[in-house]
Amino acid sequence: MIKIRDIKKSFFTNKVLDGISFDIEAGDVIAIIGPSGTGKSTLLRCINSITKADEGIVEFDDFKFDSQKHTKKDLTALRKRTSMVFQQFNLFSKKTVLKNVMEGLTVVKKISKKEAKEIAIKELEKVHMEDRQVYYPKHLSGGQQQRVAIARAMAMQPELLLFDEPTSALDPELVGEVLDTIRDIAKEGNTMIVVSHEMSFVRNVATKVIFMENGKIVEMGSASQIFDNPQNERTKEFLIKNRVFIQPEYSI
Amino acid sequence: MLNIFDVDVVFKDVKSILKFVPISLNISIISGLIGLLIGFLIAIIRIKKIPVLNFLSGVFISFMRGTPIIVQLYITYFGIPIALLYINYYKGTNLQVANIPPIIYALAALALNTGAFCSVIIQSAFEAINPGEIEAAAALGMNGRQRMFRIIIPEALELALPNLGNQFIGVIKGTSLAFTCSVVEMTAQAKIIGARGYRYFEAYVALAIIYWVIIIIVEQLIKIILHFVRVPDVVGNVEDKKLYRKHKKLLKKQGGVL
Repeated sequence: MIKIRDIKKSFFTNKVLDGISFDIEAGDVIAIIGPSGTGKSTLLRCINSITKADEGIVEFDDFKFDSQKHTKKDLTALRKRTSMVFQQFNLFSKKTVLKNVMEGLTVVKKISKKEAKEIAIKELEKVHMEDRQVYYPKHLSGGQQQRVAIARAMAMQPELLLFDEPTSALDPELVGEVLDTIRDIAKEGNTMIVVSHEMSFVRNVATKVIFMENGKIVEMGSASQIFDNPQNERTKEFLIKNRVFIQPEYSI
Repeated sequence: MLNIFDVDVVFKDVKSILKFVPISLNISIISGLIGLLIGFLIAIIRIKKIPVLNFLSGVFISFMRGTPIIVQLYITYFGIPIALLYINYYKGTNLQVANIPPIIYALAALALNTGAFCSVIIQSAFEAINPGEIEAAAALGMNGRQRMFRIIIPEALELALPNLGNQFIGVIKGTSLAFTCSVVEMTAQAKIIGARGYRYFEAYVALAIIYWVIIIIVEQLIKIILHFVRVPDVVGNVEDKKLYRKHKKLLKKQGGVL
């Protein structure tokens, strides 16, 4: 079980995260939804400390990370346990697809090149990119780049996968392939947190849904609880608006 | 036969100036490398905004950009001996100005000058890197040094290389001013042999040809390096050299579209 405890973050006077706490069971797929600018991405970035939280603890079974006092070793340990997939893919542009996936294995985990290559190819096969090993990121479509980024994150065998709006930078046609990939990974039993605006995807895949607004968790529950029977007025409003926007697209 | 302009003399002069090519190249390569190092350090100071040092490097860059190289050469040439006198006076040492080979003055001035210009080039290259990639490297658990050497420098190198090459060409031409520090290199030699028979024009034509050829060679070298550093435009198995060559031909035939 992973415990997130009381994460707080302000940018100058702007309070972005105001004490976020929740638990993650092994195998959970937690979806975070909410309007733009409520700190969903910042929360993910604080969990693996890419953005340093002002306060807060991320606790694994055998490891505790306190954002206020930690050593460089702790930071590396935290990041080895978590992997992140970014909205803008952020593949290493000077490295081929294969080397992108191998990078973390050889440099951070110090695995031999031969072994790393085997792992990388296995992960690339899972996202159906094994035939693009020697391509550079700029030779790939957005959806392909994101799948490689997912393989790169998966190769590290993290305890917790973080998806930061993985489909928001893709055109609608490519969203499907990336969501399918994430769905497959979820089915394998990986623990993950997904920030997403794809409501139907969230509904089908998430085991737990968190609705956030203004840096606070407004409502938390199973997908059916949140989507079919939301308790909070604000959650209801948000879902109604979203369904209104999404419905015409799906009726085509 | 009228020989107002004597081609034979030009050839002869080329031969005797060629002997001094190694000196000019040595000065440019050594001061270029030291300059690169200085530039790298200053760029880091400026990006990290290290207090005091950041201010000092600002002043240094401004001075180096704001004064001609020849003036900088004069200042080192006359400044270093004066500095030695002060050191001797206060520390009681007995350092002799005469023991300093003149080439040191030229190297110092050119290296500092190149350092200032390189720092600006390197700084802008660092700032042009996609910060997302650095974040991704951090998220993988790479520490600062690993990010620097595995992600940031390879990318900055590609961005900075054309400008650094330009700067190096500037250094090669800058060595022609080293005669002001009584270093005998190509330009000084041309002056000397020109003075011998008052055939200045022939000597300088010979000199110009040699500089030009050297710089054409350097330009080609930079192009070759860039070719290896850049991510290829062609889609495909770029690690397979045979396939790569095939694609290259295709590219040319189709006017750049594969």
